[in-house]
Amino acid sequence: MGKINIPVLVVDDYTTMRRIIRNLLEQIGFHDIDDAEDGTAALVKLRSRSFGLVISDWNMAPMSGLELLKAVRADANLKGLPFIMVTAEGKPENVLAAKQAGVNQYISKPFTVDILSKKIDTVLGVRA
Amino acid sequence: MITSLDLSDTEYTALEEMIASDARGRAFLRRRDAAARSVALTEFQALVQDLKRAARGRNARKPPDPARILWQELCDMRHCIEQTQSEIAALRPNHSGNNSIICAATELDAIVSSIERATNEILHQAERISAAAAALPVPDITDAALQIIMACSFQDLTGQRMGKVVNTLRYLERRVNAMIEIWGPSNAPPAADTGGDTRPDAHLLNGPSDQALCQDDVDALFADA
Repeated sequence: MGKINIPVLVVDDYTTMRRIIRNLLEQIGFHDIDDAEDGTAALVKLRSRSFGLVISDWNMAPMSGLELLKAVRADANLKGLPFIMVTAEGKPENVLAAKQAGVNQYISKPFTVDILSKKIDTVLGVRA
Repeated sequence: MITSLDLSDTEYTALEEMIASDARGRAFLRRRDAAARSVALTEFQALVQDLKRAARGRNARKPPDPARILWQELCDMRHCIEQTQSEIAALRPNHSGNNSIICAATELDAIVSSIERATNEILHQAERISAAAAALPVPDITDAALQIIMACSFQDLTGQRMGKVVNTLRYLERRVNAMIEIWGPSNAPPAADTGGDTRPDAHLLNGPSDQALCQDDVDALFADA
């Protein structure tokens, strides 16, 4: 599986959620996984090394997932980075706002490893 | 043929004296007088009722007094404001440590922390099972461990919901404190009876608490005793 060697950044303010997504990604086949507790910390990591996929929560402080997404899309070096939003913000306007900001996929919590795997396949397939 | 005849006063008196001349005649006159009084009383009562009805109808048609209505409304408003003051003051008893809103928010924070600790422990053990099962040809165990890990995402969702409740409680607390400050401590009415715990052991911690001793502290106390 080619996607196994893709570095992934998991962004969530809940420690347990970061740990859960890490476990699911390992189950899917990823092994190069890093995490950040909010958008600001994530942006620092994204600019310090190369990642092939971002999986981010929305509701975080001081920088939310949507703000992180906009910052990524506005950055010349990061704007093509696949970005999946994993969030409990499930209102239609939230989904549309994320889509307009350039998110590649949107996963509503709670989710399963199958859903995560399919969305990753879709995103990486779109990228290829 | 019988015709009606008008009696003069003299004829009436003469007839009455003639009838009253013996015992049976006097009995007749007493009964006639009683019947006449009864009829008069009934007519009088009917007349009183008619007068009452007429008086009520007259009052109903009379326009209400605006000043009286205003006074009544002001009295009602004062009563409501006093009641509200008492209710709000009751939310902040004299001992700030017992503030029911602060206590509720603190309890919820403690619940979030407890759930997070428990979830991390469940995750840790599920990871151990998953790692151990990886070396065995038993895919069901790996799958079950993965299901446990996925189920742990409830902590994130419940944590977010409780966070909303805590924020709401803290908002209410700020508003209540602001209202009490507006009235000033001296103007705040005495706290109403909140129906608190009146049991003899009400001073106890009432379940888990951050103030509770850990087992090591309990053992140390026993060792010192």
